[in-house]
Amino acid sequence: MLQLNNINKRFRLKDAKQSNTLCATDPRVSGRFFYALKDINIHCTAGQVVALLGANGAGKTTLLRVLSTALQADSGDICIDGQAVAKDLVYYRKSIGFLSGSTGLYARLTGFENLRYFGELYGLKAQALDTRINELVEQLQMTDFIHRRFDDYSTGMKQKVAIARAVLHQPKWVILDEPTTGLDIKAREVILSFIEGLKIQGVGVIFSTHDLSEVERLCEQVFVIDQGQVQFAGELQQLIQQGAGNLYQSVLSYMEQSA
Amino acid sequence: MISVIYKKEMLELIRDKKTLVFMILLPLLIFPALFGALAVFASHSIKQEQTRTLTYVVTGATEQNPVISKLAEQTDFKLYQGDMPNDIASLIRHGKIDFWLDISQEYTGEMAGNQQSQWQLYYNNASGVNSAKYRVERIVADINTQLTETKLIALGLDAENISGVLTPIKLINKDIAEEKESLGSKLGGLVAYILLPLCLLGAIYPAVDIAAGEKERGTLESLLITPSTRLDLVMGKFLTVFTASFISAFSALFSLAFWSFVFAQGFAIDIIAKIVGTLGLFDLTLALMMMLPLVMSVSALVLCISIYAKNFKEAQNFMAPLSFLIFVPLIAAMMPGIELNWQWAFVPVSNVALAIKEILKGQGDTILLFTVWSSQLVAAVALIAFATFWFKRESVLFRT
Repeated sequence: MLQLNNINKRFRLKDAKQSNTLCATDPRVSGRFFYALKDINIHCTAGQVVALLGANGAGKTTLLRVLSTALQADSGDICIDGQAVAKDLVYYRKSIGFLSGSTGLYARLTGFENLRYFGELYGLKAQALDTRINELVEQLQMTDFIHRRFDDYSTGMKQKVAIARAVLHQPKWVILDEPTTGLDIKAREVILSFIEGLKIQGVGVIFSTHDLSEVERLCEQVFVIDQGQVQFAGELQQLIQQGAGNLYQSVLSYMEQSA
Repeated sequence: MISVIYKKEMLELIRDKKTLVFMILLPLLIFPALFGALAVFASHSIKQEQTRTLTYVVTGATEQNPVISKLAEQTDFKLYQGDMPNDIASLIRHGKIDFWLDISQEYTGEMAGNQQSQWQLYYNNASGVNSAKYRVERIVADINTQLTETKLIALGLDAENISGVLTPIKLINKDIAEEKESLGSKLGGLVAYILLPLCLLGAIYPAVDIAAGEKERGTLESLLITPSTRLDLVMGKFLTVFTASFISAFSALFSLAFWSFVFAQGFAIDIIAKIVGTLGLFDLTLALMMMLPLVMSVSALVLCISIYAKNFKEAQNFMAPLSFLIFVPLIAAMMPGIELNWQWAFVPVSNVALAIKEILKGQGDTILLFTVWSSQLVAAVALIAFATFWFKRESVLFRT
């Protein structure tokens, strides 16, 4: 179980001018701060695929970055299997894999070297690491290009290596920020199938997306976020029912409520 | 974990052509070649200026005036044979003559009455290397000596006593400084002046690439969420910048020795041959060792600056003023009369430059040199600690 309890995150604005400009358009601005996340409570069941939905700027990426520990929450806590993350940060980091909006990989290294580097950072032993890389290369169909330099890759190739990097150390939870954005149909299919594979293996997946067909295909649980707050938390079926069978209408209604 | 990060950073650096240029090629080839070429060019220009034939005009002198015969005797002086305009100085301005000597009309009378005769010498020294003044002064000095001797003999003085009358006291200089000390003093400041900026240059590009560059490319975040600690990250990156900076310094020193040898042997330039013969490899190695903690401090500092920057461009802008932090204390250390003492031992950068000077002079006080080395090391450790603290701050890592 992965739990986020009363998570709050604010960012200091650059200056009073920025504060005044934003204040007029965004209710999340107060004084010199931008309140990106407000009292976020999310409980994810192990082995489930969870979707984070919301408009651009709603707070999805900030939430995922807090979950990944790249950002630290101002208050509230994250618990994994009932244990607070702050108590054993290394254990938590080994338990999660994160794919940010950018691929987060090094252009002057080959795909293989990138994976090896991150595997070593996660403490994997050389032989086990090579076996695991070869396994992922096969699963994500990367054999043809894995030994080429990363800056020669297409968007789809880059995303495949990035996903492989996120799951390299066999985490319990995988956090993906819009993993299929900008991909062609074939690459997208490989990645969606891979997420389905993770689900079968009992790995929990939390991902943000704007594509509702992906949600319908993969998810059990959905969270709709708007203006830094959770507007809906529950089962996918429940959300579909609220929109009288139309997921699109239902999600849109949660976004409009707070508009 | 540090070694994993370090190995990867070095691999990336080596694969970047720009880094290789700043880290190795520039110190190895361009700077020494530039300095060598400048040295050869400057030495050639000065030599050429001192031996070239000067064309001149003399006015107001009679045939008996000794300067006429003296100038005519010189093989590298030539009397101007062209038309003489009213404005003789215009001949200098148009480059037709090099100097014009205007002799006092009253010269004969002045000499007879034991009065001073004042002559005007016109020349153009806009280039800063015109040798006309120096070469004419030498000739006039000879005439002065001859005239004085003739006058004194005429007054009844014995020829043997003339020097005692003309110069009652002659100071004979005996510089007891050994050649090494003298050369070390002159070159010490210069070596530091070349090496330290190269270290900075060698550190800046890798630091910008592996800190601000990582931010810009979005790779920093993937690194921050790994189980490695911030100290591991900082140390891995710091060691990379330090290595790059040290390789720059080492390349510069190597090329300094190499090019000096080439210039000394190939071009038979006396001064370079003298330098090579006087400064040993041991001195240069000691100088390099003295720089180690300073290179560490510079590496940690540029890393702190780079990680604060939002992107590559901002990091480069932040780095520009850093040169002043290096150059100002370096210039201070090059000032004449500034020597390494207990006050200077604690002035960053200056202390290392002065210590290098002492080492190359072969006169370093061991305690003072160790103080400089250890004070720089303390500064380096403090800066690394600050870099680690800096890498933990969200407001720094995700500055917008």
